[in-house]
Amino acid sequence: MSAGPRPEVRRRARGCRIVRGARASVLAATAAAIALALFAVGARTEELSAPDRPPTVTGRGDLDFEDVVAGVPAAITRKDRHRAGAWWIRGTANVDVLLSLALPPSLSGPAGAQLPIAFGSDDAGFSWQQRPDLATGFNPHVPRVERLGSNGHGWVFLGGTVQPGLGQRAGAYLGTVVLTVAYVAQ
Amino acid sequence: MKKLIGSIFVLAILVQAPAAFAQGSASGNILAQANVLTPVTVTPQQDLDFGNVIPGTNKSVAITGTTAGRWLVQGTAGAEVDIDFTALPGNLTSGVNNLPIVYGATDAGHNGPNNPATATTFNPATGTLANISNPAATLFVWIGGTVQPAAAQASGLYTGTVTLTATYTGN
Repeated sequence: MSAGPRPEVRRRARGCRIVRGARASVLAATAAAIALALFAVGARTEELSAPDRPPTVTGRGDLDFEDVVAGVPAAITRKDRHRAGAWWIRGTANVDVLLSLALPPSLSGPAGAQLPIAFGSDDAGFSWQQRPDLATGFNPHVPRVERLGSNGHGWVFLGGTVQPGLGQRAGAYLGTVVLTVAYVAQ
Repeated sequence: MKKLIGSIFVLAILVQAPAAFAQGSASGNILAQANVLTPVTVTPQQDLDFGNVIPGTNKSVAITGTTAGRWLVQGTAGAEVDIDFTALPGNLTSGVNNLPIVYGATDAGHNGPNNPATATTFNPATGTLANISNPAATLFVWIGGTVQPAAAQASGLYTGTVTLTATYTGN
C-alpha cells in the first residue's frame, strides 16, 4: 500500500515538474520576447539617433578682417576658407542640434574706440564637413536647427562686414563671437 | 525567473540610458578682429623740372637728380601700398604746342627715407608695390624722364600733370 501512491506522487511530482518546466519555458519565451522587444525598441532608438554624448564646440578659426582702411567697409564671406570664422561641433551622429550665435554689434579698439560690425542674413553657414564652400547658409541672428553628420561632426562658418568710419581711430579691434550648440529633444 | 526578467529589464534600461545622459549644450568662442589702417595720404613735394631745354636736344632728369619729381606717401607703418601713376602725360603742352616726354623702365623709384640714391627703381608705366617704412611710416616716390624737343620746337613754358596714386593692398 505504501508503495501504491508513490508512483502517482511521482507522476504528480513528475507532472508537476513537467508543468513547472512548461511554465518556465513559457516564461522564458515571454521574457525573451520582452527582451527582444526591448532590444528592438533600443535598436529603433538608435535609428532615431538619440544623443549618446554631450556636444562639444571648438573654435577653429577667427573672423579676421586683417587690415581695413578708415571709411571703407570690408566684408568677409562665410565661404572664405582662411578668414571666415569657424567652429567644429562634435556630438552624436545624425542628431539635430540648435545653433545659437551671440554676435557683437561692434569690435573694441584703442582707447575705447568701437568699430561697427554687421552680419547679413546669409553670413552664417553649416556643413557636416570642413567645407565652407558647401555649407548651407543661414541668418546668424536667428537660431538654427541642423543635423550633425554621420560622423557626429558639424561645422559652422561665419562672415560679416566691418564698417570703419572716416575718422576711425587706427589700431587693432577685437570682439568675441560665441556659438552655443544644444541637442534638440528627440 | 523574476531575477531573469529583472535582469532583462535592467539591461533594457541600460540600453535606453544614453539618451537620458546625453542632454546638454556646449559653447565655443572665436575672435572677430580687424586692424584699422591710418588713411594713406599722398603729398606732392617737388615738381619734375627739366629747366631750359634746347630745340633738337633731348634732356633727361634721373630720379637722383635734384629736380626729379617727388611725393611723400604716409600711412600705416609697414603696410603695403600699390603705387600707380594714374596720370602720366606723353606730352607737355604750351598752348597748342606739344613737347614729347618719355619715361624709361627705371625712371621711377621709391624709398622709405628721403634718399633717392638708395631707392628701388621701377617702371612708371606699370607702377609697383611698396611698403610704407616702419616705424617712420613714410614712403618717398620719385619720377624722372626725358623730354624730346623737336628741332623746330616752339619756345615757351611747357607743363603737364603727373598724378601718383597709392592704395593699400591689405598686405
